[in-house]
Amino acid sequence: MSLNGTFVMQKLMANMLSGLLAAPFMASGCVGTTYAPVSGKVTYNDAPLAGAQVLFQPVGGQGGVAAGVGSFAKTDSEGRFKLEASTATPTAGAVPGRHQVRIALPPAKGAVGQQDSDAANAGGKPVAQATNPVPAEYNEKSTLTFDVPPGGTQSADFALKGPPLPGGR
Amino acid sequence: MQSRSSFPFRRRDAFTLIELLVVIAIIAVLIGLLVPAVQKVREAANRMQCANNLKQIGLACQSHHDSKGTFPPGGITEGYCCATQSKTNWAIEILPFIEMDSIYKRYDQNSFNEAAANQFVREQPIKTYTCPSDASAGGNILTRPASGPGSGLNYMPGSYRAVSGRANITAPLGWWDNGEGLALPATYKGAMHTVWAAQGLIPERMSNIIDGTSNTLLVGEYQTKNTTNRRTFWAYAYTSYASSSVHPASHTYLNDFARCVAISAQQGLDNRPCRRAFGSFHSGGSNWAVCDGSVRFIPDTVDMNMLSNMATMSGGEVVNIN
Repeated sequence: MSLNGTFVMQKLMANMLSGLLAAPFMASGCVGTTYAPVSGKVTYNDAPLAGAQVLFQPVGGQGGVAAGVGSFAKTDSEGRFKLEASTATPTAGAVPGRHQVRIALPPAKGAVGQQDSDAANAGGKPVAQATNPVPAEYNEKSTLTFDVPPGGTQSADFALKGPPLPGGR
Repeated sequence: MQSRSSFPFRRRDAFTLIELLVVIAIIAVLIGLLVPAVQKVREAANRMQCANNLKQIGLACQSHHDSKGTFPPGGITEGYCCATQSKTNWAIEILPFIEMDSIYKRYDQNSFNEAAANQFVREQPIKTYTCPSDASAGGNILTRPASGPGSGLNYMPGSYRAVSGRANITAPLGWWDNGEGLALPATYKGAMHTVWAAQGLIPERMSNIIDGTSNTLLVGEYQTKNTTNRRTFWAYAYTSYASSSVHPASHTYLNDFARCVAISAQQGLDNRPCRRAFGSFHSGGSNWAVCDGSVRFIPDTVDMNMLSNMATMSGGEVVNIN
């Protein structure tokens, strides 16, 4: 009985100790999710795709919940990008695992619809918007996927093909 | 009787300093364990109260459907741009069904939302529309919204926004909280989109929700820790102050308008996706009212494609969120 009692006490103390150790981590909310550094290059018809939106959305598992939030980047003049996670505090990288990848060209400045923009539109009519020229299978209806390894990668490369873009690409 | 000084371990009627410190240390440890637990319980209670508000709102929308044959309009804005005044919105229309009929009767349907006649309603605090966890910047006081014909008027903040539909990640950009949504596929429409009869945008019926009422979101939360004038204003019918759309990227499911704008800018987009964001101060996610009258807690790490699909009535997508 007394032996059992000692054992229970030890277990209790061990629990309390682990609780104490875990408490600060839980309070700061940084349990679990780690983001691994991811960078790569986007080409379109073998030429670098500059200024493209790159979005990584971790694919949801059971119940549609993913391991972390999505990540984003914009490609530079050589088509290179480095992901940043869409967390409240800036965090580099993407959560390891399978992602759906979407790549698009953002609307050119001034080509956006004007309704509900703060600059008043005197005409009172919607402005016709140019649509994104990158084929929909790479963005709105993306079939691109990428598996982010636990240690991250520097070769998240995407070679897109499609009709020539305005501007001769 | 022995001499006191000759006995080294004599008993005294007091604690030593060491004993006292040990006791204080133990008490400190116990408090340290207890206080976070109390805070967590408080937040859990607030989250539950918030879910209860959404339950009331969801049921009120059902009651509206029962008595008027349709869900309430997300908002009525008949025109294309910034100076276009609005009529009513969903939060005003369900007032009679949350026992706020006295306030509803003060809303003049023949005047615009921004008219002087409707000042009383614009400035009313409604407890059911306020999440107890909502720690939005600026507090719960009358505030002037950032844009639209009501930007010079005071509105009372709220915590909840109708789900007007889903958006694209890039051009053509548009949102179903105004006529700009017409640039999008019709399958992107949500259960409480903008109403503009001349453009064929009319309030929705239950029978139009072909994805199933339990797979379609009705109302969500939007609260932000900064940018006071971009928070939720429950009675402001103009576009994006009492309605949001799901933009299929995680940065629009954050309670931080400024951070969302920064991320949008890094993708070459302006702040418009962020004006239609969702997000709350609950840890790890937000509450949502669903079209079947239920309430769900959906985590921040939800697959945003799935959340976008849940925002539409007739996408025909597979949704398996639990």
